[in-house]
Amino acid sequence: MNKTLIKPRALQSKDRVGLVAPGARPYKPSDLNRAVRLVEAMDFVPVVGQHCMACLGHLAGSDEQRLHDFNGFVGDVSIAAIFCLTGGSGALALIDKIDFKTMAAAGKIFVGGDDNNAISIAANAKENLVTFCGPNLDEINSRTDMELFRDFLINKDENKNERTRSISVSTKNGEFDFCADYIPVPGVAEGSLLGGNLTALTSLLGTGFAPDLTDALLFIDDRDERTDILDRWFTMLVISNQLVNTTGIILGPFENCDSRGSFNLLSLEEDLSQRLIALNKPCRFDFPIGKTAMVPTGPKARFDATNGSLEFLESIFA
Amino acid sequence: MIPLIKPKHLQAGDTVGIVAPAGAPFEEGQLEFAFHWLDKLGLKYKLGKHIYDRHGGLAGTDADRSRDLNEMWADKQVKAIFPARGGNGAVRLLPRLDFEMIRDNPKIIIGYSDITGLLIPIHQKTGLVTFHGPTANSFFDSDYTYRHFQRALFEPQPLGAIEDPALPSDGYAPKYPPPRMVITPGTAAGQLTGGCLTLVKNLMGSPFEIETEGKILFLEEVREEPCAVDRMLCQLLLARKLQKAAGILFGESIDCKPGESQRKVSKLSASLESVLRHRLAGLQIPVVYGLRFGHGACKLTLPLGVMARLEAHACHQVRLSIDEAATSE
Repeated sequence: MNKTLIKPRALQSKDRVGLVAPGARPYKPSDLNRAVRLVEAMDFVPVVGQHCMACLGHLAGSDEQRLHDFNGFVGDVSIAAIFCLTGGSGALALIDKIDFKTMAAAGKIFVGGDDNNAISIAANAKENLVTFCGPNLDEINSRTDMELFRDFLINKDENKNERTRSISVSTKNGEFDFCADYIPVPGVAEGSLLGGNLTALTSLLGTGFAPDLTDALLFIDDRDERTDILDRWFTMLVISNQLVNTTGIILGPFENCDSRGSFNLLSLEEDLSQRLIALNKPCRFDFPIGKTAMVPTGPKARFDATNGSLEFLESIFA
Repeated sequence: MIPLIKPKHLQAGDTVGIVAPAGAPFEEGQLEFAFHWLDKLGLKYKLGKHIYDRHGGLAGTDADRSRDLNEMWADKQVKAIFPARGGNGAVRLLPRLDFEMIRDNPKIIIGYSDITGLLIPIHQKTGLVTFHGPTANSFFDSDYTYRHFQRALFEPQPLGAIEDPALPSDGYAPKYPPPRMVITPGTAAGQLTGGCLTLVKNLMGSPFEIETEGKILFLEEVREEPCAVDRMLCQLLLARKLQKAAGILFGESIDCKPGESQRKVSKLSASLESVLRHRLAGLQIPVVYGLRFGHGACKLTLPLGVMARLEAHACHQVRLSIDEAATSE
C-alpha cells in the first residue's frame, strides 16, 4: 500500500453528475425521474445516461450499452461525479472494460452501493483512486439521507481538517440515546479503509481486480441476503488468507438478512463472531456504514470499536 | 502437475464412513433409509462421532466436524467417505484438513452441493479422483441416481456414454429444461471438474480455487436467482475460468426460477436459460444445459479428474462419455 492515493475533487453546487445503471434497470420511468429530482435537490446538475432505461432481462441494456454510458461519463471532462441509479448484478460484467485510468486521472467521484461496490473496489485496487461506498440513488429515502449524501461529497471545511469528519453510532437515526451494538472484539484499529458490499467484494476474489486487504481497515455490509450465503462469502475472506492481514473489521447493519427459513439457527452476529474473536482484530456489528453513512475507499482512518466511532486521519478529497 | 490417484472401487462387505462435514442431518430418521440401502448394497458403515451434533445449521463446530472427517479418512478399514448431506460449512473445514494424510490414504469421497467445497480442493491438492454424485441421504433418490452411483463406485471400468433419465411414463416430454439443450455446439475432450456454482465461487481467491484449463467444466445451482447466477458467471469470466475450459456442462439446476431463492426479488428478472445463453454462448467452446446432476432427483455420478468427451451437435444430439476408469482394481 505504498502507492500514492489519488483523491478526487470535492463537489460544488451546480457540478454536473452522470447518472448510470451499471447493473439492473430502474423499474419504471418515475424511478428515474425521482433520481433526477433528488440530484437536483442536492444542487447538482444531473445528466442521465443514454441507456439507463434500456432493458435486457433485469439489466439496463446490454453490457455494451451500459458500458457506453459509464465510459462516456468517465471520459467527459464536464462530468464531476458518477452516481448509480440502482444496484443489481451486471456491474461485474463491466469491470474489465471500465476505463479506470481516465477515471483516476480525472479525479472523478464515483459512488456505488450493492453490486456497484465492485466498481468502487476495483477502481481503488487498480488505480488507487479514492471511491465511495454509499447508497445508490434509489436507496435515499429521506431528506436526512439526502443531506448526508450531499454533505459528504461537498468539502465544506475550509481548513480541510478531516479530523473534524467522523462517523459514529450516533449517526443512526435512533429514538434512544443508547446503542446496543454487538462488539465481539473491542479496541482501536487504524488502517486504509477498504470494502463495501460483501457479495460485491467477494465477487472480485480470484480476478485481476481483487483488493489487497493488507493493513486495510475492512468494512463489510450486505442486505436482503440469506445468512448461510453471507457465511459462505465471509468464509471466502478467511480461506483466501486475507482477513488475517486486516487491522480491524467494521460490520454494517446487514439490513434484512436472516435465515429465510433455511436450517440456520444462528444469527449472523453469532455465526461470524467465533471467527472474529479468534482473529482478535477490533470489530463491531451494526455500524452505520453504506446506506446511512458514506464510506470512502482508500484513506487512512481510525476505528474505535469500543466506542463506535470512525475518524478519518487524512483528507478524502484533493 | 500432481499425478492422478484413483481410489479402489467398492465391493460388498466393505465399510464406508458416514460423516457430516457440512449441514446437520438433524434427525436420525433422515439417515434411516440410507442405512437400509447400504445394507442392500452389502456395505457396512461407521458413523462420525459428531454426526448428529448441531451448531446452528452445521453438524457441530468446525473443530469437531473436521476431526470427524480427518479421523474417518485416516481409518484404514474405511473404504469410502459418504457425507450425510450438503448444506453449508464444508469450506470452513479446508484450513483444518490433513491433505497429506488424505493423499496417503486414497479412498472414495462422494457428494454434491456443499460437498463440492471438499471435492475440488481434495482433488486438486492430492490428485485423488473425487466423485460428484449423491450424498448418503440421496443415493437412492431415483433409479437413475442409484444405477449411476453403483456403477461409478463398484465397477472399475470406465462409465462410458451417459444416458438420459427415462421419459415420463406417459412418454411425453421430460420436465424443463430438456436434459440436452445445446447452447453452443462443438466437440471437447478433457478431464472433468466442477460442481455447485456457489461453491465454485466460494473457493475463488483461495489456495483451493478451481483449475479449469483444458477441462470439461460441469456446473449447477439450486434455489438461486438467475441474476445471482449471472453475477457468479461474470466472476468466473473475469477470472478467465470459463474461457480456458474445453467445454461446459450446465446442470438441470432446481428451483432457479426468479423468486425461488427465498430472497427479495428484483422486479425485473431474466430466466436462467437466458442468463446462460447471454454469458456462455459467446465462448468458443461447446456448452450444454440440462444434464441431470446435482440437486434434482436424477443425479449422475461424475468423477473429477478422469477424461471425458463431449460432442454437442444439435438439441438431443449430444454425446457425453466418460472414457477413463475412475477407480482402480
